[in-house]
Amino acid sequence: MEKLFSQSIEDLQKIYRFSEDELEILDTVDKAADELALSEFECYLERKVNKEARNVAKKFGLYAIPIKKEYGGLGFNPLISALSEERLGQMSLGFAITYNVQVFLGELTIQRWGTEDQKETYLRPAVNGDIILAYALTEPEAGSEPTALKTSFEEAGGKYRINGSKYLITNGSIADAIIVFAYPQGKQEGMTAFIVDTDSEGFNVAMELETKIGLFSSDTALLEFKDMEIPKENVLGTVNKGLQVAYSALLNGRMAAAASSVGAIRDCLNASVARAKERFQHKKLIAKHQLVQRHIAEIAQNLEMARWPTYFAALRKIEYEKNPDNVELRLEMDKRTALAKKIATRLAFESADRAVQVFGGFGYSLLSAPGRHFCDTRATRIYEGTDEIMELKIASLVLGKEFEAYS
Amino acid sequence: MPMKLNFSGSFELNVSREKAFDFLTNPSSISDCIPDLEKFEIIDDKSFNAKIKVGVSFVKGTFDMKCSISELDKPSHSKFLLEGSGMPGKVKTQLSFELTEKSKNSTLINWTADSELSGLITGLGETILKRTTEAKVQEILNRIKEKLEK
Repeated sequence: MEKLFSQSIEDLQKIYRFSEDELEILDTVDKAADELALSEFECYLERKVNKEARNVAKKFGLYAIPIKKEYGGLGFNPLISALSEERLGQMSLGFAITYNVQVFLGELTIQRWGTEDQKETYLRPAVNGDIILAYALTEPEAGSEPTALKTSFEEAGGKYRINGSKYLITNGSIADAIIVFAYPQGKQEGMTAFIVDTDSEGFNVAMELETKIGLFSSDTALLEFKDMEIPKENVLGTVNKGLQVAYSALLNGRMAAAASSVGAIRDCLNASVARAKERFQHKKLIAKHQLVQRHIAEIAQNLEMARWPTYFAALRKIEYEKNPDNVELRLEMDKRTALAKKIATRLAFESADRAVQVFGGFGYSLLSAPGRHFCDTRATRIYEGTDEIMELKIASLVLGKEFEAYS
Repeated sequence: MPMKLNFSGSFELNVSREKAFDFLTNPSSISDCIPDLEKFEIIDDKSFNAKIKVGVSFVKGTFDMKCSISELDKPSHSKFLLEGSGMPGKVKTQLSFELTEKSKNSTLINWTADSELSGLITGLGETILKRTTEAKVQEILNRIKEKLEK
């Protein structure tokens, strides 16, 4: 098992008793990450979606990790899911975001809100890796403000008809089914979530976003819906209660973003230590230069500062999942997840910046792991809730609801 | 300080141990199994030079390799010393084969390779270098099997 990941598990063993099954699945994830590393690297350089990744994820059962056994999953808890995402993020944030959307934003959302029919039609095949899921909330003019969505739906002939567009959708052009959010036509309240089949008439991938500045092995798309008809049974959750669905999904997505960022910090530390022990400048290894040591010490501190809030949020989520109707626990989860996401993603970006510095000129290249992390971690500070939204959320949860920025 | 990478593996060939040994220690037959070989020159029956293109995706460089057989114990053991340099950096590898007879026409080959790398190439990181090398080794083994077992 990768050295620092193994260390992480050992550290956690002092406060959490892992079962044999849990240790085994973490070992499996480690092997999967190892097997994926080369194809991810190649696809990253060639800026193309890693199609082999899905087969490897299927082979190792990665899509099944947090899903209940009754739906074909392995039933592991949020700590194990977070550690899995951490190892995948260490290998490649491009794959980690693809996986985050499939599992954390897609599968877990359908498991939480879907009907039994929806779980059979979408969740079970997704767990098996037979279909790919996406989550479409963001629009060209609505990012941090979901109440500004323009995508709308109306009833038509016993079905719903959707019109609008969705922007920056991970897995958008490769997904078989997408969770889409829309308001009733002419209204800005009553948001509703739908599961949309991408082979439906009226669905169009308007653009694959090849001009992004990182995450090159993942798919990001602009989607259009033109008079797309959806059966009524494809409403996810309750009509007009889609905001609940969106927020619960984001809670999972933020946990994954935090965990994958911990992995990226870990990789920056690994790479910087290795480089500093190989590279000679001024007749000595750069590891012996104190200013290089400072970068390494800062990355090591970042790792500690990022991983413990993330693990703690995951541990608290185990409790929350046992009591999903407990409002106090939900608010605590909201805060813990926002804290973990803000801290880990910000520190991952800083760590990548420092690792690039340790690498010198070679760091300013996508051939180096720090160079790739530098590009990729920038996105983590935006997706699943920006730094700023996380800060507002943390502040309002500390100060009280009456201090909410948008109340 | 050079980066150290260690590899090991095993594979089976459906030929006699003698035939496998002769093939694996013959520079000429080995040259047929190296992918992206740009130039090959036999110096004597125990050494050869080769120019090999290596890399990942569109990032490729060439290594000028000097290879020599440093140990031969027919039909069970051989050891190669491979030294290469090029724009991507330097590589030095000691490659050993241990051949065990499983049956008259089946040989088990255990191999180990201890490599030291330095220069630009090390910036790719251990994981990518290991996976790239393993993929290349697998390609070579497939070719050896194909040539020997046909």
